[in-house]
Amino acid sequence: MNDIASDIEMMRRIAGRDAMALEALYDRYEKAVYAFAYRFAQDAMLAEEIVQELFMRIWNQPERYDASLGKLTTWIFAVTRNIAIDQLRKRQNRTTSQTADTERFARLPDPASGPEEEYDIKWTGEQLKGALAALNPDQRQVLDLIYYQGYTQHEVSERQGIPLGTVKSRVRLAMKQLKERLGDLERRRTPYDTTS
Amino acid sequence: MTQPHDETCDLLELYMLGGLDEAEALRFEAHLSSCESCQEQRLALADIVGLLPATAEPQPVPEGMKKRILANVLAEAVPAGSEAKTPPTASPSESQPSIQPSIQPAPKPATPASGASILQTTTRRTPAYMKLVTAGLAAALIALALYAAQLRGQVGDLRGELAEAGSAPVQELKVNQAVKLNPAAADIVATGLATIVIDKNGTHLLVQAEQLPKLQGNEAYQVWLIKGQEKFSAGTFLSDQGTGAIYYTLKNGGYDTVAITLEPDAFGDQPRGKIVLAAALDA
Ligand SMILES: [Zn+2]
Repeated sequence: MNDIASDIEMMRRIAGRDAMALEALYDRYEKAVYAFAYRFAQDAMLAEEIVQELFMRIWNQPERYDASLGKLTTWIFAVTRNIAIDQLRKRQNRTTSQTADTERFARLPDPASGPEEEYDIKWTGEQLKGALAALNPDQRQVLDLIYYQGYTQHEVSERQGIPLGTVKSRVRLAMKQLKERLGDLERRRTPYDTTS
Repeated sequence: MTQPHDETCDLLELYMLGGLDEAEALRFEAHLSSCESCQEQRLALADIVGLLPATAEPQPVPEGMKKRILANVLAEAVPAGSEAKTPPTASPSESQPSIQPSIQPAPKPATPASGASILQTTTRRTPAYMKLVTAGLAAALIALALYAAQLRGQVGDLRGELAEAGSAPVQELKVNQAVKLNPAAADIVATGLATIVIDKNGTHLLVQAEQLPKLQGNEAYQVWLIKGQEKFSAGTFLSDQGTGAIYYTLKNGGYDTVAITLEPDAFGDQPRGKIVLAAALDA
């Protein structure tokens, strides 16, 4: 059984209150989710709290995952980011009224790429890490403030004292460069190098 | 590039990274639903954003974390009304029961036929960051509770309960439409309700059904919004003891029918299975 099919099967069993399925899902994603949570929290206790809240939600609201909209990992990481950003804002006494719910990305139907297409993972985390390192510091900082610290474009503009237009253009340029760099890797592949 | 440039398109990257506030994100979603250029570019961006978690440096997992987390999570899932005040913070593992394969699956915390227990299970646990329930979730919970109350003819009581529980801004909520879903064939006993709820964040559809036929293999229930000949998936769900629900934020209006089908799997973008429940909507 491939990972995606077994992810869905595990979620089905979790919806049926199968504790062993929860444990299996936990085992499968513990390392990845913890590393991701730690990236936000920068603290072992806080990262563990995030992971715990994630599994609380998986156990108590498994129906929030909609398999027709994408694979489970996408949803899991989106929820993890939500929890992490909420925690960060709370700790910093930041306002929460202006937050975009990132879980929404996992809810958006993806007309052009069904779940089948997701077997074909085009790039790796290592490749993206390399591409991120190649960004200029300004671009990297804006990405960090938005994605890892949960600031909105307006908050970044205010906090950094840079015009909103500059925030927008840095984000756009950063994403464009990541796309180009990863696209170059893609093109260098041999034509018969397809994952199956 | 002779095409007139739409400035809204410039927000795609910010949207994908989570850098828009709620109102901006909703506006952008409206744009996205009709902008082919953004839809196309979104795919490549989604690949990159989806890969960001994989760039996190591996970290040593704290000693005993699995035991603590699973014990806390499973301890939370006790029936409503029982003592369930475990704080979500990490605690020493010695006193926690270990997770054995023989562990009893905890009972389902709430059934949709009981509004009160839904409220209890959703409000009994309030770690700090859980108080920030998203508006959409709050709407879904209220709709669920309203559904349950309608079954019992106690909408009035329920509003009081909701207000008392302090769980949601009842006054901001408007139930726009609630239609009963009818079985599509004589041999189906299932019942359901589609509720359309409007709150400050938009229009939400909540579909709830019970006494559904048992699923087999990879089967799943799928909810469809139908406009003339066009059918749009509003998501899939798996039933638990014949009961299931789905929550969906409407991007467009004008649907004339809502239907639930029994599908061979959860991956279809058009209906393949038979209709179990359906109802007409006021477009
Ligand atoms: Zn656009």
